[in-house]
Amino acid sequence: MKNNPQDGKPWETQAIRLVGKWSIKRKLVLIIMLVSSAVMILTGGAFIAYQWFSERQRMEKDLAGLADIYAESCKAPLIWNYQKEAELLLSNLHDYEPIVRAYLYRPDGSLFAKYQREDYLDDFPPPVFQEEGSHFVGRWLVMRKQIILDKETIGVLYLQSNLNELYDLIKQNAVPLAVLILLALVAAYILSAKLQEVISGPLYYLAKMAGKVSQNEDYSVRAVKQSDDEIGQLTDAFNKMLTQVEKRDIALRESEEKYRSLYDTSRDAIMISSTTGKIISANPSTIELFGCENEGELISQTTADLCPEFQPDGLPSQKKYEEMLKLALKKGAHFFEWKHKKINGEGFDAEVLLNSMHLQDEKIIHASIRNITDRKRNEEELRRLRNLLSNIINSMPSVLVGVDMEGRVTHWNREAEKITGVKANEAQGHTLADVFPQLTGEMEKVAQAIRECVPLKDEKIANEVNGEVHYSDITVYPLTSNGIEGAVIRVDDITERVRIEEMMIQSEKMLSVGGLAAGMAHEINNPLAGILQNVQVIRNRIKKGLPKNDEVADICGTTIDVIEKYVIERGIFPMIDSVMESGRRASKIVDNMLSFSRKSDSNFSPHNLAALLDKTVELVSNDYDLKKKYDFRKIEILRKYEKNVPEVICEASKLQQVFLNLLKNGAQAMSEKKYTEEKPHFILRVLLEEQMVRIDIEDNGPGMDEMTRKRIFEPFFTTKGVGLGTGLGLSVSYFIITENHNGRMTVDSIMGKGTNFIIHLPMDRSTQ
Amino acid sequence: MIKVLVVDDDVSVCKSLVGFLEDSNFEVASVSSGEEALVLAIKEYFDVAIVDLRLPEISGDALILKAHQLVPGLRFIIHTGSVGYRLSDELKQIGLLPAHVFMKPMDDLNELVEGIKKLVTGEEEE
Repeated sequence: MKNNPQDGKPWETQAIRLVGKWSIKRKLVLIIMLVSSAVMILTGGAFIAYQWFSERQRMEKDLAGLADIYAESCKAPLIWNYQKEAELLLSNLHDYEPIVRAYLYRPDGSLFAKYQREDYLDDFPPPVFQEEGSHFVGRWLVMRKQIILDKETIGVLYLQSNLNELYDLIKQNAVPLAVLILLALVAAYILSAKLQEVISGPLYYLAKMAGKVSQNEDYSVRAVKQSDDEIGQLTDAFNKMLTQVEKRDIALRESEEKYRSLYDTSRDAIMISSTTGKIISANPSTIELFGCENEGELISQTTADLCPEFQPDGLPSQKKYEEMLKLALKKGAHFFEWKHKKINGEGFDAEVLLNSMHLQDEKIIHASIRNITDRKRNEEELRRLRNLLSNIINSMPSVLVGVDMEGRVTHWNREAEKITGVKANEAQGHTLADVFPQLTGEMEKVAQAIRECVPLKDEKIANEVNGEVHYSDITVYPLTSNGIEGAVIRVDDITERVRIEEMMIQSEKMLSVGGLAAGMAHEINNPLAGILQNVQVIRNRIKKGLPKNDEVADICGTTIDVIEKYVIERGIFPMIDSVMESGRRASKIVDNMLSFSRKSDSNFSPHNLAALLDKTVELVSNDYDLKKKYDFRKIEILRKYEKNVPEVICEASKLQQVFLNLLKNGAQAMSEKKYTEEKPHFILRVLLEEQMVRIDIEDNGPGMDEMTRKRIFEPFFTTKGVGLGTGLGLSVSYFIITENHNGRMTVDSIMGKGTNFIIHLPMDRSTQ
Repeated sequence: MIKVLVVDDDVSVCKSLVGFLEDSNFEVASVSSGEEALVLAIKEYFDVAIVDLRLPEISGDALILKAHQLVPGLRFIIHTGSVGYRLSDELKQIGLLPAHVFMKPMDDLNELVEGIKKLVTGEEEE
């Protein structure tokens, strides 16, 4: 047997399968025929069976009656042992056609008499029946009947009957019945063949419609309902289903069209590829983006073919793409910037979104690619412009701080960083009060400037930085364009300018003093000469030593000794000396004032300023002035000289005069301060700064207040007691530095901490 | 004895100079103007003339040049209150030196005395 699964199935299944292929029409006919046949055959069979059984009962009853009659008749012959009589009696059974044999036995079982019909002469041994009554045996009906006389069995009668009557009856009835059944079946077939259409027709119609729908995929057809029965309901359901299918089909088609057109018309390049990089599909934008002729040309590439060998960060494209892909597969999507390559090798910047998707159990990659070359270029341009603007703003020597209406910082340039020590990113968003306390007061101005749309300016605002007074101009520019409300605060440190202005005022003052001095020097010097010379003559004439004195004294009747003694006793010589000293001081003042006039007869030569300074220190160290109460030897000198400071073309004696003046002033100032922790000291610096040589003479004396500092170089301004200073020392120093040497001289001072005189000298005064 | 002529229009200066120089054993005469000086210089002999520069009418400079012409042997010392005074070339030509210029006021008139003595003895000249 072949190993055919169909062969293995039971026949019923095969039959059902076979029948299953039939049309409903045939099936209906078959069912009707089967049902009618079964009904007819059952009815016919029942009829025949009934006849059969009733005939058999009748036959038994007949035979029993016959046996009773013959048993009674046989009693006499048995008793009397008349065998012939008995046989004669039995032969009467010939009239009774079905009886074919009859046997009469004696009680001991021996045969007493027998009868056999002529056509049943074959030797048929009489069956031995133990039971009374009739029995069907094979084609026969047999009967045993005991013949009883006075309760004593005197013999047994056996009758055997054929069943011809029964068979004849069945034959008689069966044939017409069969014919009848056949006729009925034919009628049933004809009827069923006609009537089945009532059911199969609409079904067939529905099936045809369904076939049409499925074949043409035309969901617009509708079946016509033909009845209200189940098939009618089926038709309704079919139509309803069709409506739904049609609706869904339309929706699906619309959706498909929508997505297709999205895909086709999208300006974003959309590409579908396998995880291995094989390109499966690409929309027209992708084809255009990569410079391909058609989709086929693109599909023949792999994703790796569309990348340059290396990305801008120097990583190999393939390795990096695998990483991106891994991320996309892990997260479901991954977005990144990428350098792509057209089919002609031209590279471009792109933004790529990789989506990992499932399509029929297979992982695929949906990539959206957007060419951002233009955007990149614009961004680059924007960045360049922003850098340029920020550079411009940062290059400004002014502090530029942008603020909004609430006073929060929106911009912070480098100068602002420098001044405040707060970085731009730290300042951003903080209030001015937090990051630039100096400007807190400007918020009112900001509001006013914005309200009135005019820049507002505060000039020469003084504030203290590390103990030094700085001056600033603060300008508030309102920002009102483009809806940005706020202002830019510009702070210019004008300390230097203010100092220069101060210096210029000083110089002007000194020059005017110089001019005045030059004009009046002669007029003052003559009377001074008169005073001093006369005093000297007087001094000579009231003491010993001159012959003329002796002579005149003698004439006057006295001696010069007496006169001199008198003069001494009266303390006249110190008075004369005092007159001379005062006269000399007045002369010195005039002399100093005269140095404020521009002179060009000085002799300039190159000098090492450090050496010059040292020489001056040495000179001043020997100056021990008890009267001025300072001892230079107790003052520590700290030298901070830079190496390789070039020589300066200068007038050494004048500079020495300046240094001497500063050192003496400093020493004197320090003598007025009480030192607890530190000792008085000078810090002397010589260094190169701004192409000039800078000399610092710094003391840790009592310092001075701002008012004093401002006026310190003014002629006749002095902090010393009357008679201790002329008020011209620093003015002369200042004049020497600024006018004679074209340098600068400034002073920084912190009350209680000390004072620093700063001198800047050009290396060659004529080049400045 | 060295004879000195003091020319100064400031009486106080003039008188004190005369007094001091006389005390220093010079023979001294004084005038208060250039004209008087010239007249006197021609009339009398002087070793040295001490000349103030700012004089009425004839200035000190002009006086020196004129006197040098008229009295070639006369020597000159300039005594002035003008600050920043410089010898003119003409004065230099007739032999005046910066050492011969004394500025008013002098701290000590003995300097002037020394200057006169040197000038007369010719010590400072090469």
